[in-house]
Amino acid sequence: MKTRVKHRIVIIVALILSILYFSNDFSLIDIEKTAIIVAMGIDKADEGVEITTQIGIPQATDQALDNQDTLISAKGKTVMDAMEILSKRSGWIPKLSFCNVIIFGKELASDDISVIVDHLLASEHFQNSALLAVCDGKARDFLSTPTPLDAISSFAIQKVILENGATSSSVLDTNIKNFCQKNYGRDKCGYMPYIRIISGDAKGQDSSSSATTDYEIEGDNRPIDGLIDVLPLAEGSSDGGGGGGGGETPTAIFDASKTAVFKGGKICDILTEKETIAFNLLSLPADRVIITVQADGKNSALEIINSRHKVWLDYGVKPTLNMKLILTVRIADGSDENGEGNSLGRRATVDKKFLKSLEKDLSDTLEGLAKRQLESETDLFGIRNLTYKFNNAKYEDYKKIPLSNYQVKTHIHVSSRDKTDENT
Amino acid sequence: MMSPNEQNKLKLRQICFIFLAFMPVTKISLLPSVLSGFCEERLWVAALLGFLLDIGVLFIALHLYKKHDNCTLFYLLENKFSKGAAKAVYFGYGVYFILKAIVPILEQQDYVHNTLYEISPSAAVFVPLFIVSFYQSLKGLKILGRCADACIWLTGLGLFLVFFLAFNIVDFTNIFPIVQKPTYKPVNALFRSIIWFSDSVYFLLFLGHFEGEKKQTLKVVGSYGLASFIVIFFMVVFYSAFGSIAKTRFFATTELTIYSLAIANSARFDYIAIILLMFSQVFAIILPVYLATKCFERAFGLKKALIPAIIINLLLAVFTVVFTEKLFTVLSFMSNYLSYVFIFFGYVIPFALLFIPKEKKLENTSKA
Repeated sequence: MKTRVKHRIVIIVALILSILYFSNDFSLIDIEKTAIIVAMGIDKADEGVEITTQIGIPQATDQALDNQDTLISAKGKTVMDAMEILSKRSGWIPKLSFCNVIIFGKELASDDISVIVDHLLASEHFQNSALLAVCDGKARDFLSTPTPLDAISSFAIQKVILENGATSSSVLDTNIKNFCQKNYGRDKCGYMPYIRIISGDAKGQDSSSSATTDYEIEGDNRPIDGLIDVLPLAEGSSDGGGGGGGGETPTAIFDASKTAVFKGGKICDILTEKETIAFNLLSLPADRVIITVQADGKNSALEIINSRHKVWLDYGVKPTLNMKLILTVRIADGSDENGEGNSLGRRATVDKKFLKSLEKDLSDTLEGLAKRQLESETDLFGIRNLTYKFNNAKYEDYKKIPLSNYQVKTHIHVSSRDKTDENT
Repeated sequence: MMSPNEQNKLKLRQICFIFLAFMPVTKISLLPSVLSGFCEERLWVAALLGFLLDIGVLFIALHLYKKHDNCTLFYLLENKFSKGAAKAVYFGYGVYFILKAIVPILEQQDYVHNTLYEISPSAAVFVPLFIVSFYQSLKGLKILGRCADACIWLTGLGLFLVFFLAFNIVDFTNIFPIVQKPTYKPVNALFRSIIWFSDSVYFLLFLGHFEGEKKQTLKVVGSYGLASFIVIFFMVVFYSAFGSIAKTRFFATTELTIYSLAIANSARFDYIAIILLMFSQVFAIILPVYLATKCFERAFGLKKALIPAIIINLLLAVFTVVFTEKLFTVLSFMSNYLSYVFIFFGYVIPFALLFIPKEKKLENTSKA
């Protein structure tokens, strides 16, 4: 009898639990009303900020890749205020979990982005792994620019920024976490890729190395005035991997080989392509980074296949910032301007003159970069942090030394990949 | 002769698994950010100090086991002092375990709401936990052993995945300098976060409820030591990954895994680890509630745990609903005003038990 009562109680409890479980919607929001935001641009507005969100709309697999993505923008006093206005006016619930790129307009970044980045870090809505970048102009214009690289321009930007997240590359990428870690750390300094638009032809023959800061936005996608503007991109389709679309072929290609340096939340310097690569080599292990060097009037593209790096401080007679790079390279392309290539190609050992040239090039670049940063009291190389970690006992004394008083020393050694390696 | 299972006793292996499966999962969510808020890169020092104290308590309990022939704590107190004294101590421990359960419950609730839900759900969503807790509280000790037997694998796999996915963002130089002065910061951090420590006091309640084995000190202390090492290593990884912003990263396990390139290139399969750890956390946070029920059962001389189980779980359910989204208010109150209570029951009483002289003849008992 007792057992039967027990069983009945268990069944009733199980039923109650099932009702609780299956009647719950897990607070999922209506997918019809959900805007999956894949990128966001933040610009300075007259009062507060203007956000431009790029929404990814799922497409049927049996249709050609149409440019159905839509940009929605709104102005508000803060990012979340603008987001709320956007939500109210559009009736869409913004889902920011998939927002993988956040682009700041140059005007805003020159002002101060600390508060906004702080919000991005603290907000539960954003993924802290979202990439950050600053653009040469208005973020809104960048997101509305069609590109042949992808149907959704932010995806193309994302590809450009995230060349290879784990190793050195020509782009110094960062995300919310990494930027904040440096900005709120002892360095009080950070960096972001500096995106530019290059006007090339439809085949994308223009190369980033010849990029200039001048850019041209194709088409007229500029929004009408108002609190909230819906900016459908030009209709049309493209075949294959092409995107963008519109009556004319999109020509804009993004470049992120320069880097914006931030101090106290404001842009204080822009690193050149060379400086970006050199600084990246000091931060991450290199893998397949290609640098073209010149010696005796000949060019050689060298591929860095292995690297070791170290940055340390020496508080001897004069405080010194030491930077060490040990690189192993091989020939990526030995052709000269006349098209006369090295017949051995990648198997050949690199001529010493090219190695020396690369050493000098990197040394000069890093030294110039470091001196420029130190003179402006920008702790890009993390001197305060290094002092705290490795000279902690005297940190309080050493942190009073102005950065401009530091000497810079570089120790660069470049060697060719050994011939015997080729057999392995 | 009845087997330990038939006697509703724990096996020594299960006690070790309780420490390994349940101890780390309650300390890898909010505790790392709380500790780094107090002492930055020395959060692991604060945790180490706490675990050393815990292991000290474990040695005391193992000493009591030998000294008093594996009698229960209640029996020991009853014999040495009086039944009233034993009931008073058990009542105190009942209250202590309820207090000890509050922060982990609210922490788990916040974690579930933030991790699994897009928008904050109703507070009632978390209430079914107390139905499970109520059911478990009515059962004998062996239910804890069985839960630990099952959860050890989930905890192990979950932690392995978290460490694996976090590997590419760690910079171990972030925890430098290893040695630095002054030391008051880690001590203060430990004091303010003491509610998460003293899990070894559970072992005092297990006395008389397990069969001794050879090398049991090594096994028990070893398992607690291993669990402590995992937590400390987790903290090192956590701070290495986040550095100066570690104090703002409240849900460490979720935060650590999202930066993996594997996640970026495929999908959020880190949720496998999160769900596995959450499952273990359910039983880990029920553990003090279970022990509180048993303490009140003994303190009031009840034959069954039904009434204390109903009252405790109902109280905690109401508390959880009322204090939903108020984790940090509760945490602040507890660390400001109740740290001494936790120290008293977690460390002072176990230490005082050392001074109870050995009885000439003490009947062994295994009654709960």
